[in-house]
Parts: sequence; C-alpha cells; structure tokens
Amino acid sequence: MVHVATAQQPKKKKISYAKWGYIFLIPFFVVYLIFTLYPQLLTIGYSFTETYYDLDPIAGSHWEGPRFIGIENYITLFTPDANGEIRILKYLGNTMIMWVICALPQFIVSLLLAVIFTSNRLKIKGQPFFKTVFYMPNVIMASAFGLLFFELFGSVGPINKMLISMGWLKESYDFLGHEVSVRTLIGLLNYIMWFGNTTLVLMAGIQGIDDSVFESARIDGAGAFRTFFTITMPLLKPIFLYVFITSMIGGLQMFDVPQILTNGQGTPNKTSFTLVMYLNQMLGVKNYGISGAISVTLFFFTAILSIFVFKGITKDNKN
Amino acid sequence: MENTNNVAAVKSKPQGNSKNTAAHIRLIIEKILVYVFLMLNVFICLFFFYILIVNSTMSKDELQGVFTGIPSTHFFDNLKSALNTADVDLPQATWNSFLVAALSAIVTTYFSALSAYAIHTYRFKGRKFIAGFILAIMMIPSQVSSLGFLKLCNQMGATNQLWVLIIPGVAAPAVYFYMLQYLQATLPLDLVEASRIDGSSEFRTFNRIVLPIMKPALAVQGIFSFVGSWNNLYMPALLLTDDDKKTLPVILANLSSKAHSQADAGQVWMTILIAIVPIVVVFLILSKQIIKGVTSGSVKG
Amino acid sequence: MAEVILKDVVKIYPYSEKKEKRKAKDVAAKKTNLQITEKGVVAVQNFNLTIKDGEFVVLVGPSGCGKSTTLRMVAGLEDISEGELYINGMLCNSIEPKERDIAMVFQSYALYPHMTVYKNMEYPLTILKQKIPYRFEIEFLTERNAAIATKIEELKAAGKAAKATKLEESIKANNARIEECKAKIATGEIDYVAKMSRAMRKYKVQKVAEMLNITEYLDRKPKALSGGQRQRVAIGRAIVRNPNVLLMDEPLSNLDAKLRNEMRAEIIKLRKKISTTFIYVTHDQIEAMTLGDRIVVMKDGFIQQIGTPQDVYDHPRNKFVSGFIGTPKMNYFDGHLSVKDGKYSVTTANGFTVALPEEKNERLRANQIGEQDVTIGVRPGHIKLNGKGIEGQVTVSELMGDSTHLHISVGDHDIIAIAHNEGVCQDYSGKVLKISFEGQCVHVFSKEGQEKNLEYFNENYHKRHEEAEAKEQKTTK
Repeated sequence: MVHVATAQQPKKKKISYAKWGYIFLIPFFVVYLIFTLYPQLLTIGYSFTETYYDLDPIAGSHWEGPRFIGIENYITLFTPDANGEIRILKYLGNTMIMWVICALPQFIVSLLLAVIFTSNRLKIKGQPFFKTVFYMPNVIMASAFGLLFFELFGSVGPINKMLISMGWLKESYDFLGHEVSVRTLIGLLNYIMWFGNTTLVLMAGIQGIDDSVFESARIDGAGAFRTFFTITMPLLKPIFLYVFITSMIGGLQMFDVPQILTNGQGTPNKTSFTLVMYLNQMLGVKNYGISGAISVTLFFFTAILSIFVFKGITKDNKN
Repeated sequence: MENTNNVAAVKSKPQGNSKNTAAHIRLIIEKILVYVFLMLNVFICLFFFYILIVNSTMSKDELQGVFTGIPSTHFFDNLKSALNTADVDLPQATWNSFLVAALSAIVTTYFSALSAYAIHTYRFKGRKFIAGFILAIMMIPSQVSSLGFLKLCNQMGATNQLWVLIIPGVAAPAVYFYMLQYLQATLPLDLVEASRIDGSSEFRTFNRIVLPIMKPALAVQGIFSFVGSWNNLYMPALLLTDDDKKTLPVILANLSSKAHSQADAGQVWMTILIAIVPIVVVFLILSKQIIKGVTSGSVKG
Repeated sequence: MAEVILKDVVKIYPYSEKKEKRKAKDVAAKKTNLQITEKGVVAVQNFNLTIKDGEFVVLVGPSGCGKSTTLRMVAGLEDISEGELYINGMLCNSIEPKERDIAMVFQSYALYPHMTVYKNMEYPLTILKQKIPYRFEIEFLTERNAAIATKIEELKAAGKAAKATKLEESIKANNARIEECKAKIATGEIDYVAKMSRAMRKYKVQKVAEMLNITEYLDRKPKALSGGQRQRVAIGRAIVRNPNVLLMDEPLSNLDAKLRNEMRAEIIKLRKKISTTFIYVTHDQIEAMTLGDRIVVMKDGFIQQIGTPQDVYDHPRNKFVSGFIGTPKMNYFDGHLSVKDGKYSVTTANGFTVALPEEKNERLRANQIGEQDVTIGVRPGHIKLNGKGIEGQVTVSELMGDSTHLHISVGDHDIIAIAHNEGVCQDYSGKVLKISFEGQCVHVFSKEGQEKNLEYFNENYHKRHEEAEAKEQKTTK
C-alpha cells in the first residue's frame, strides 16, 4: 500500500500471531484466578483452621479465629457423634441412596426410550413432542419443583386429598415425615428432571453407531433383544459410562430439591440430609473451619468415585 | 410403517400368509405397549404441572376443600396478591433473576468462545498445557470453592451485589469445551487467514467472522447458561440477603421455610407458576435447538 | 503491480517441545526428505527469486516441497526464518499481511459462510484504506451522474422540483470532482489512498462481479453456490482491492477435472484484464505449464529449476524435473555415455546406440563431461515405433482418443510410448514392438548425486545454483 511505503522500514522482526493466543486468554485466567482458584485455596486454607462466628450471649457475637489447628477439623468430621454415627459418612450415604433411587429407574427407562425412539421397526411418531415433554422438567427451577412437591404432598395437599377421595387412604399420610417416602419423593423428582436429558444423550449415542452394523446384525438373524445386548450396549458403553459419571457427580452435589422439600432439615431425622446441604448449613452458621473441611472432603469423594469409575472403563477396554 | 410391511411381505411370501399376519399383529401389539409406556412418562412429566396450573386458579378456601382437578376462577386474584404481597417483592426478584441470567448468558458465551478461539487458532507456547489444564479444572465441583467465594465476596464488600454472580461466567470451562469442539468442527483456519489478508485485525476477525459462524453454538450455550443461572439457588442463597437483591429461587426457598400453613396457599402456587413459566415458554419456543444442543454437546464428552 | 524479491529465504519449523524432538525428527525424516537441523525441520532452503512486475510465476512441486510455505511467507501468514523478502522495494519480513498490499486465493476458497457474495467481496474494502485510481473515480462519478440524472427526470415528472434541484447540485459537485481528478492525472498522479465510500464500494464490487460473471449471485450465501462459482467469488474478493501481488494457493485443486480446465482458461483471461503480479502455487504440472510466464520447480524445500515452461520442458535441469514436468512421465533407460573425438553417443543397456547432435555435443563439451554410466531420458512422445531398436511387449494399451498410450515392457521395467491413431484405433495389447529414439530427443542424466542433466548449460542459472549448492553444503556440514 502506498502509505506504507513512506513509513520507516522496521528492523527485521518476526510476524507472530501467537501473542494473540495469550491476549485472548487473559479474561478467562484473570477471572479464573480471582473467582475460582483463589476461593479454592481459601477453602483449603480454612479447612485447617478454627474459624467461626461465636454467638455468645454474654460477651456478644464475635468472630473466633482463624486459628491454625492442623487436621483437627477433619478428625472432628470423621469422629462418631453422640449417637455413634459419623455424620459426614451418613450424609454421603443419604446422598448416594437418593441418587440410586433416581438413577436406577432413570437409566433403565432412558435406555428403553432411546432404543424405542431409534428403532427402525417401530418408527415412533410424534418424536419431537415426546422429546420436548421429557426434556422440559430439566429446565425447570429445581427449587420451584421442590416447592411444588412440598405443596403437593403436604398433609393437606392435593395428593392426599385425591387418595382419600378415591378411598385409597383413610386419613392423610405424612409423606414428608417418613424416611422412605421422603427419599422416594426426592428420587422421583430427580428422576423426572433428568430422564429426558439422559434419553437424549443415549439416543445420540445410538444414532452415532453406524447403521450398517445394525443392518448386518439383522441380516445375521439377530432379534431385537439380541441386537440390544450384543450390539447396542457394547457399542454404547463409552457414552453410557459418560452419562453414569456425570449423573453420579451431579448426584453427589444434590442440594436444591431436598433443601426445599425438607426445608433444609433433611427430615425425618436427617435421613434425607445431603453433603452439600451439610456444607450449606455450616456456611449458614458461619463455621468456616468445618465448612472448609467438608468442601475438601466433598472434592475427594468426587475425585475418588470418578477415578474408581474411570479405572473401571480403562480396565474393561483392555479386556 | 408401510415399508416394514412391504419388507415383511416380501420376506415371508414363500412361507404363506399366516406367518405374515402373525408378525404384523405382533408389531401392532408391541407398538401399543410402547405408546402406553410413552404416554405414562408423558403423564408423569405433565401431571404435576397440571395440578400447579389448576391450583394457581384457586382461592385459599377452595384449596382447603376437596381436590377436584377442575380449574377455578381466582387466577387473577392470586396473581394480584402474589405480586403485591408485602414480605416478598416478586417483580423485583423476577427482574433480578432476569438480569443475572441474561448477562450471565452473554458474558459466559462470549468469553468462552473467545478462550476457545484462542486455543483453536493460535499456536503459542504452552498451548497444549493450557488446554489440558482447563479440561482438568472442569472436573472440580463448584461447591468446593463456595466457602472461599463467599469469603472473597465479603472481602470485596460484594455480598448483595448481582455482578458477582455474573462475572465468574467469564471462566466457564464446560462452555469453553463445547465452543472448542464446535470451532474444531466448523472453523477452518483458512478463514482466519483470509480475513487477515483482507486487512482485518485479530480482534475484528473474531467479532466479525468467527462469532457469526459460531451463532448456533452461542445460542445453545446461551440458553443453557440462562436456564442454569435462572434456576441457580446455591450461591445466590448464600450471597443475597437484601430483599431487593434476591432472585426467584431464593424467594422460593424462603417461601418454603416459612411454615406453609400461614401463607396464602393460592399465592404460593402462583409464585411457583411465575418462577417456572418464563423458562417453560423460552424452552417451548427454542426446544428444537435445545434438544439438538443436548445431543451434540454430550456425545463427544 | 510490484516486483517481489526473495533473497536467501529459509523457513525452519522449530520443534515445539523438547521431548517431542526426537520423535518429530524420525517422523518427519520418514515422511519427506526435508533436511533436519538442530533448530528444526527446514521446509524451504535458500530460496532466491526475483519476480518481475506483472509477471506470472508458478511454484510447482510434489506435496511437502515447500511451495505453499513459500507463498505463505510472501503473504505474511508464515514468519520468515532467515533471508529477506522485498515487495515493491520494501523489506517486508516484519510487515503484517494487511500492509503488504497483497491478496490471496485459498485452496478451500475461505469464503465467509455467514456473508453474502456481495458482503464477502466488499469485506476487504470496508476495513482498509484503498488506493483509488483517479481514472476509476472519474468512471464511477460519471456513471453516478447518469443515475442521478434519470432520478431527476423521475422526480420532475412526479412534480417534486425541490428535490430535483438538490440532486442537480450533487451532479455539479461530482462534475467538479471529475475535473479535479482530470487535473491530477494531467500532473502525472495515478491514484490516491483513502477509504472508499459505500457507493464507490458497491460500484467496485459490481464491476469485479461483472468481470467474473457472478453478478446474479451477489445476494446468495456461499453455501448456495457451486464449486466453480465459489472459486470465482474467492478470486473476486482477492482482486477487488487491486492488490500489488495476487497469491493463489492451489486454487483449482478442489474442482473437478472439467471445471478445472474451464477455470484455468478463466485465469488466463483474467490475467489479461488486470495488471498484477501473480504468484501461483500448484502441484499440477499442466497448470504450471499453461499459466506461468516462469515456473519454479521445487522439491524437498530446494528450488530445482527456474525457467519458462518451454525451457523447463526442453532442458530439465535434473532427473526429478524431467520426470515431474510433462505427461505421460519421461521414460528412463540405464545406459552409457561415450565420447570419441568430441562426439558423444549413448548406448542403452539393451544395446541400442544413438549419436547425439552437435548442439548437445557442444554443451557436453562445455561442461567437460567425460565417459560415464548415465540415465537416458526420453519423453513418451519422442519414442518411435518404427520397427527398429529395442524390442518390448505391450502390457497395457490405453486408448486416449486421438492417441493410444502403450505401456511396453522393456527389460525389467515398463516404458510408455504414444501411438497416434490415424483414423483407426488399434488394440496393441500383447503385441511385440520395437522402439527407438533419436539423438536430439535424448536427455542425459548423471547417475550421481542429484542426477543432474549433464548437458544442462544455462548461463543465467548455472552459476547461481552452483553457489547455492556450495552454501548449502557448508550449512549441512
């Protein structure tokens, strides 16, 4: 260009666009450092201290700590309480039980639905409708859903009234006061919220399998069941495991639904109290030392379970 | 259906007609069972919404009576009382939710696309390491940092500030990962180079060439982060204590913590409806793209 | 228009990470014969070339020879490791592409998928200042005045006199500007640099679209175009800026054979219409032969030969070039070069002897070539099937239409000969034929080193290449 010719000839310097890679990553890393990494380090730091807000009625409310106490918080977490229970393990157990209640039917139904939707033989009509309806609960606010269930299954709620008017119950049943029913409700709610999502993912997985594989199986004389167990499932395994892991990690972080349904109490008797609810409770009372320890423990639970499952995959693949 | 029948007919011709009809009947029975199964799931999904809608039309007294399942006439009374109740400022909470969700969606998608573009396009030292690092941090649950985040917000005096719920979206590893995969599938580097030769600066190339190409991915991730943010309870519940800063999920959580008996039940139902409806409407309009997004994003994962 | 000078240009791809160094070394060494040094893989070696103003130069070679890398260095998309690049007398090593006043057509077309054809072509004009020739502006304003004049007629007919007078004023202003431009031209100035107005951009894009016959597609998106149409748009986007240098990176290789031939002709026509320096990269020797004023044959990062198509075809500098240029490929015979009283003759391993003509003798003498074992090269078209010479059996007979390509098994390898069909087509399969060739059609290649053409003698290049090789040997040591 003419106007450049008049400019001074710069010294031999290299043209490099690489610097733009760094420049464009600056926002990500600045925000990551400030809003994720620093808080994570803070959390870990607090887990080794005694820090809490003392609601002392005599001396007045004030902050205690932070005072370094080593791993004492972790010891406290894993020490049995008066009832002889190790709380954090109990809550982990609660979380996992409720996850299983939601995940087991979810995987079975989703697999079934995925196979049904992708079946060339059945040629299901109205698929967009079904998909939309099944996925819809996933976009709905878990807390609204929780409150909805809370109202529905309350002792004077519509469900009780319906069951009584149909003559199935003599008097209203306290769904929210019994261990089994509360856990089942939480599981059911999570099932409703997630089975559509899982179905779509598994469907995509099945559609990702080359059609000719199914056709060749059909020519080889395999029926629907045989095709499913000998062709679909083995080929779907990586995606199924992906779904499994993400569902499990999501399950470990279960919070909104039980929080709202049980009003943050995990009623009855903390049998529906989850790990994150525990963390939330400790944060609520401003016991930062224990909160930190719970966070770190939660991280380790997640990591261990993930590694466990990942190991399973790689081992299977080798065989 | 016709096809299947034709195939079956051709196949079983030598064996006579009886087998053909038997197979046909079996298929029909199977289909009936399958549709019953599908409708059962549809019922599970929609039943609760039906009750929600019916109950939101009922007055407090009607709700105390026998459950009929027939809509009543008090919809607007409930709406009025839900919007005007003294203890919760529902319009304000809805606005707060919308503000946070919309800005989060914009910030998250834009900067995730930018980060993904940086990794996809430029060959700089440590590129592989950085890409691996972002993948690794994707695995860490966000709750792990919640204590520190809370503390940080305290230090900055930023509790009850909505922006602290928005800005962290700049570093969203999962969205970044989706964008990266999308770029790898759709953006040949030739295009970037052509733009360079056409005289464009790097930043302009990103905004004018790359972003428009990424529109579908931006839309999908924008919707997801909007929904995620709209529904988020955990951090907002810890951070927002001022009534005029609360978002909808926080309001709902408060509503459930107040003994439900004392509240106007019709009003509670209406509040739930208000929290759910905007998202459902958005979902129904964009369901095609959302469903596509779910399947395209996760298969590669 | 501009002169492009590449002086001792070298491209080295450094190893990205130390750990991968050895691995990359092995892989790269296996895949290509690129030289590997401590710094990295050398993709282009000591590239020296002066491209004259307005010249059409084709870089040709097999994949991985460094031709595209060279082009990308000229474009500024790749950094130049060593050496200097001058465009229009300006050292360009560290100048960004947008300031080099070049345009490029990509193999993949690289059209912006979200923009219409019009927007694609307008895009470069919207970003940078352009050099606007006064002549072009006069043309533009004249046409614009004509358009305004018809508008005025319409307005007058509609009775809107006030608006019409306003427009008349703008015609006056335009006319004034035209006079200004004419005055500038009279003083010898050709163009000036400025951002184009929207109207002028539109005019320019339309002009180029007309030239390329894509006017009717201007509102379409690239997706809705065929390969050939996309190609035209890509070329249009490149030439709309009147670049000093137009770079083309295998622009035709994504097209099918028929379209490729058509577009080749289009490019030749285009070249006559616009005066710009062309640098064209291809792996297709036919494109190179038909398009280039000069062609540069490359292999493994080295220039093998630079010359006019005729020169390269008639006097290939080494065995590689002789085999790469020309289809079907040149045939080779093992043989012996003997000299007696300054007269050279060659004898094939099968015992066929032919004396070389005087012009070849002269060159061989000048190069002081002695008796030695050589590779004898003869182009298929020069093989004679006249019942004399070496005996061989036809294994495959390919009917091409007006001629038949015969694969003839001679000794331990096949050679290809062309039989011209005069009216009647014959199937030659299985026939035993005798083949021969004449002395002036023979190319004699050394059996050593780079298998140079022994008679190669070209004053312009001979010396330079010797120097370059000496330098290259130094660096390898």
